[in-house]
Amino acid sequence: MRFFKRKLKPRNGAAVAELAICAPVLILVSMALIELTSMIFVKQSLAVAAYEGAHRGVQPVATAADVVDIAEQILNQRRVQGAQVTVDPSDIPSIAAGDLFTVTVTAPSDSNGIALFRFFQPTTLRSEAVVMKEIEAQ
Amino acid sequence: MKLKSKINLSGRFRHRKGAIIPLVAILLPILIAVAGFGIFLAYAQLVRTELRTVVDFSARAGAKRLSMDQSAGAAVNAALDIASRNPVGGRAFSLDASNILVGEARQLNGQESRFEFTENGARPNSVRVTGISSGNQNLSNFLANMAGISNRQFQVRSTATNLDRDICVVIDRSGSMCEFVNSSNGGSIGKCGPLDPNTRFAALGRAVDIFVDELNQTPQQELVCLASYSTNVRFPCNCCPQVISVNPTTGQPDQTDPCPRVGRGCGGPTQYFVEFNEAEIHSNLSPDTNALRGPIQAMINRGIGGGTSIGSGLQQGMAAVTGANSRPFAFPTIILMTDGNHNNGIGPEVVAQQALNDGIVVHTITFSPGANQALMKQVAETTGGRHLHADSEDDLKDAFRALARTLPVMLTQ
Repeated sequence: MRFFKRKLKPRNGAAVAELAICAPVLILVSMALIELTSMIFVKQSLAVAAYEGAHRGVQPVATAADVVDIAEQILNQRRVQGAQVTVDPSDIPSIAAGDLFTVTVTAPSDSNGIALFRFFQPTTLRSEAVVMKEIEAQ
Repeated sequence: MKLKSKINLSGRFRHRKGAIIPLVAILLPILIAVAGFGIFLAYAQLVRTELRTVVDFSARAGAKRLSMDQSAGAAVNAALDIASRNPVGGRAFSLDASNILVGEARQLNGQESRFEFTENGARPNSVRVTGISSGNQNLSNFLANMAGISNRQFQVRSTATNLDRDICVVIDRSGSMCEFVNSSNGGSIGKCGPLDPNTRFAALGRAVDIFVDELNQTPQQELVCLASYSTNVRFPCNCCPQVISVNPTTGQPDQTDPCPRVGRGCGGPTQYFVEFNEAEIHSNLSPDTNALRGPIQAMINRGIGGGTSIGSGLQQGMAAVTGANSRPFAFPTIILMTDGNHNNGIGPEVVAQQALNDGIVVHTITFSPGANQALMKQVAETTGGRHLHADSEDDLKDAFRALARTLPVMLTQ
């Protein structure tokens, strides 16, 4: 029994101390991974919204409001916060066939993080789709 | 036994001092590799989505420009332009011109079948764009290399087909078109105008209005023309004097309106002649779809008549749809309408064979129960067109609407 106690003594607190050093590193790496992939998810949501919005814009008798509506539906379904959808030029019916218009979707990164800490500087995530108008309003 | 076990246990972990750090040193690279894999997958999906945007809109723009300019070079340039304006992985996407093909997409096995793309072709109507990008485009290779999945390439392909049509509407102006819509008669020899709103021809005018409205809603630019047929016909439209009041003493007309209307066989002076050739082109191919309405309204106002020379009408339609202003890459299409039976001149089934040889699709519409549906169905089937039958005005409108709504610019693959 005495031998047993003598051998155990040096272990007291060693594992806890090591864990105290390593755990924050592991947690930080894990949370950074979560944060980064969630930002990529938001970015992809913006890309999908821009694509679908632009796709709506090339349909006959589409307006900028229709484009914004479709894009916002996707953003809402994906729970993207604080997103803005703009169409340039905004008067889609007046765009001549063969001319281009751009659908831009932006969202602030700091409103869409899910980790407890902020690993990145606040920035604006952005995606856009440039598309050709196919039919003029009659 | 119990004590021995504890001693053995203590012996096994005798060197646990510093056990966590080596463990973390082993696990951390694994964790980073897993993180790299996760980030790579997420980022690759983003790249794929952005690549889809580039490819789809490039193909659509190319197809639209092909339609507008009738030029394969212009189509390729338009596709390249759109690709350069849509970023992938945060940078402008560089699309290689060799990945843009201009060709022909057709439904080889009927209207419900898939489109098959052939590079070049007699009437190019499609643009195929293939986008190729690595999944870790512009992403540090470090994480992807850690996960062992670098240099993974995505290939996204899109084909946009632009079904431009040059359309000639060929209408029946024979005497039977003066019958009422709900009548099964077919023997009228013609009437002066204005035609009653309940006549078949007036109903046809309203159906063509629907057709024009539908065409105006389609994304593609159709060119339209109008031809009509009956037989060679010429008859006078005379004033039909109307007694307004009668002298009660003499019983003779006291007051007469000399010309309240005109009619065939009336006793007043001739106002004009209804005169048509067997088949005529009323308007050449034009983007102004409203140009169809004017000639039809003129016929409603002045009158129509004669026999039924469907074959001659089809010939005139073919001449119009391949004549002035016809586009080399557009689909020549004829909509041939009749309410009766062919009874004069060359048979439409003979002309249909020539249409087939010329690559012209003939859709046919029969209107009224007495129309020769079998013959018109044969004409349509010969050329790969559709045959639609209408008993009522609503049916006729539906038929024209259905033909107007054939496929616009669309992604076919």
